[in-house]
Amino acid sequence: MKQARILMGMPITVEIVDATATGAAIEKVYAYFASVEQTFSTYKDTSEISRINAGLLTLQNASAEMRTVFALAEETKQRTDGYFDIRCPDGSIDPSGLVKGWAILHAAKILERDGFRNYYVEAGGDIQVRGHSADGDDWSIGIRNPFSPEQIIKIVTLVDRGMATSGTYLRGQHIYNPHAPHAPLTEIVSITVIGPDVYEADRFATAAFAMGRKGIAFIERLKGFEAYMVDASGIATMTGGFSSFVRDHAAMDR
Amino acid sequence: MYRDGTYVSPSVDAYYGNVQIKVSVRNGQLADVQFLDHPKDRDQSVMINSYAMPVLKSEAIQAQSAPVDIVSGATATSGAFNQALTSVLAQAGN
Repeated sequence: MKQARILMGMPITVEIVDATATGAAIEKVYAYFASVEQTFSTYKDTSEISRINAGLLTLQNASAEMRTVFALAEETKQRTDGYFDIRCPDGSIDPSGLVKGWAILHAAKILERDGFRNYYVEAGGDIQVRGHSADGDDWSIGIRNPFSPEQIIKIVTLVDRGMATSGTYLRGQHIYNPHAPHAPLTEIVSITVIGPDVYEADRFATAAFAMGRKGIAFIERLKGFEAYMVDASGIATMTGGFSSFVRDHAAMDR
Repeated sequence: MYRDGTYVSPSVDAYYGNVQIKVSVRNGQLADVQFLDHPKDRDQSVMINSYAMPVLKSEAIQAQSAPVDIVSGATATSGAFNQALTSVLAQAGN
């Protein structure tokens, strides 16, 4: 059973392969994403994050989810030498670089608690996979060509992992280097990170992209993470263990 | 605008341990965020390889034709970042 909807300003797809899948189970996941949007959308004046940014709500009076996200953002900032920062150059707080992966992982946990073992949740190109696809294979994931979004440039297969891509393409640059917020990032166009889960992959992809060329070395040093980085000239650089996830061509002919 | 003062968050579950922060507000602005507690064992397990020599490989990107279940790519979900960047670049006269 598979559904796609637009929430949090992006398409969100949920597929449950288990025979016990119900529409209600998928509905529960979308209701969760809707609640995340209500809390964290910087586009909704009534959201908690907008009220915090407007000075109408203090962090100590905010919801447990908001306090968790602020704490996770701070931890991520420290783990990434400050390259991950939810504080924008204008002083406002935008936690969306962390909330997406965090929410996808949470959505997967909802499915897990409901007894499902074969599913994926994808939001805006970031993915958590579990078990196997309807064909009984490992989930296959294509990395989108940053220069030509309808094209795929790499195919990996994943079991029980998360994957996220940060980049400048599709709708223009949306990540900046907090250490030099005025400098446009032009060298690297996308970096795709495979991690133990999508929350980890997403936050480190965001930080690694902001690091520019040294982002791939940062991921190389993280145990349990691999990455595929594409630069402006169409050259990809991958971490040492990335190729172990690449679907081999013999398998495609089966 | 925030109210001036120092605020300590409750210790919250971060999936793999507890996290607690202390936030200081001066002149209505977030002035400092300190980390009082975080899952240190995980930190170490992730960073244990931090001195390993990077083994990076390069290749020219190439279009693939095989079908896939899911596609990963960047989207502009952080629209506010974009807005912020735009306004900063405007100030910078870019």
